[in-house]
Amino acid sequence: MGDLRTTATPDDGPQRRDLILVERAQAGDLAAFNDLVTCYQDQLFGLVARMVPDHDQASDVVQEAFFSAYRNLDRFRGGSVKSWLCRIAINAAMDLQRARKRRPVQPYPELEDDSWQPPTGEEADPERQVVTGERVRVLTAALAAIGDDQRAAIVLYDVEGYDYTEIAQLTGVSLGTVKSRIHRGRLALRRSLEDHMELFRG
Amino acid sequence: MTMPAPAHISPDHDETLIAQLAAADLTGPVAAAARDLVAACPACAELHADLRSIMAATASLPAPRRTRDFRLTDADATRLRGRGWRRLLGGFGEPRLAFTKPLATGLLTLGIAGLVFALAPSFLATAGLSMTSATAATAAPAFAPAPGDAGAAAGSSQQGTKQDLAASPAASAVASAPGPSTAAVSIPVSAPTPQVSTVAGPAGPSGAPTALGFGRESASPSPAAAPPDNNFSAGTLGSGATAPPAGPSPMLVVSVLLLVAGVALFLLRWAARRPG
Repeated sequence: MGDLRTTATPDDGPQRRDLILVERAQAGDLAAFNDLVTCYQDQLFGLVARMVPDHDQASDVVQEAFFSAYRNLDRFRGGSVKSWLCRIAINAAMDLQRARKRRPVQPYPELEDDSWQPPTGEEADPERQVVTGERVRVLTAALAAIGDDQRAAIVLYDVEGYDYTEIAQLTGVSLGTVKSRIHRGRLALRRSLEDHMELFRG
Repeated sequence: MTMPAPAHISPDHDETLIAQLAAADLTGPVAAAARDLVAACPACAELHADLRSIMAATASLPAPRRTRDFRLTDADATRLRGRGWRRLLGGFGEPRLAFTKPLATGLLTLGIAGLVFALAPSFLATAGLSMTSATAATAAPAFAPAPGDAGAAAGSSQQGTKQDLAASPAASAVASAPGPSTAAVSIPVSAPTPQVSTVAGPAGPSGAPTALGFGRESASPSPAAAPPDNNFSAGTLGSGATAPPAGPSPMLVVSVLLLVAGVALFLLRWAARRPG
């Protein structure tokens, strides 16, 4: 295998760091791989937890994604380590969603979990805090109610900040399909939130 | 999937166009038309504003808090990057190869079905042999050769009849049918399929039977073309036409291969997912 670091641009510090860690992990250094996990576990969990709103299932998905990444270290051929890990996590999340469609269970118990509240500044006034919390709750519920593909596309675009092309590569669909899923997903969100839109218009 | 428009938006107004405008995905005249629509229609303007608000709210959703540390332990590493054959097999246990389970099931099903179809004629022929043995015994008096074919009848009755009867019930039924110019013609027992079953055709000019269903090998030395004084018999025809036993049918081979592939896939998955 060639030097992975040559695939990173000189000014791309995190990418160079990631490639060095991958090389060391490929050589059998578990600590190097765990450094990668430390770098990306919050981000991957945030991504997957929005695609799979049940946090226990999301944790399982992320763990499985890191297992899969470690198992397939030898297949990494350069490029963005972050994108590689995200792709693995997205695929694992989609596998879970497909399996859940085949064996439907009580959907999204996380939505009943009041312990998940948005972080707020110390100076935030109570009324604003309540409105923000309510907005997050209804928006999360609406996101959970739309289609899996639409939710994944919206989360990747609006929350994770990927562009259309990156999302198309990550999810393995065409650019037009990505755009269509995002537009239709937002329209579906708006329908779902129709009774709560005053929370968002202020 | 087309969603119905809310009641307060005119059905003439394209919601998707507004959504594209809100996402800044439109350019040129289409974007201008969408802007005109938003400017002229209050409901479209409200939809546009709502979509922008939802986009902003979605982008500012708080990150869910992680409740677990996902770093791998030494035991995880040993299990995941095992050496030798377990590492090769590891991929079969991954979720992305979950399709191998239904694939294995499908291969097994096809293999079993193919085996049943490939072997059923043999079982039927075996069953037919026992049935037609009894039939032949009762029909023997009616099986009278044509006057000019005494030798042929004698030869065939010695060598061909039992094989004919074993070949298929249809062949045995034809062979045992009474008639002045009917003679049995031998066919290989190992080819029980209907297309090689031989029926005795109408008598030729010499009163000898014409074999139908044989290939070139049997057509050339046709009894009809034989010299009147030769001692050609259906028995010799039968022995001459008897090809060496054919190999297993392609269907049987393919079925066995599918069966083996299905079982192998199941075993691979089981070995890959076995802990330790």
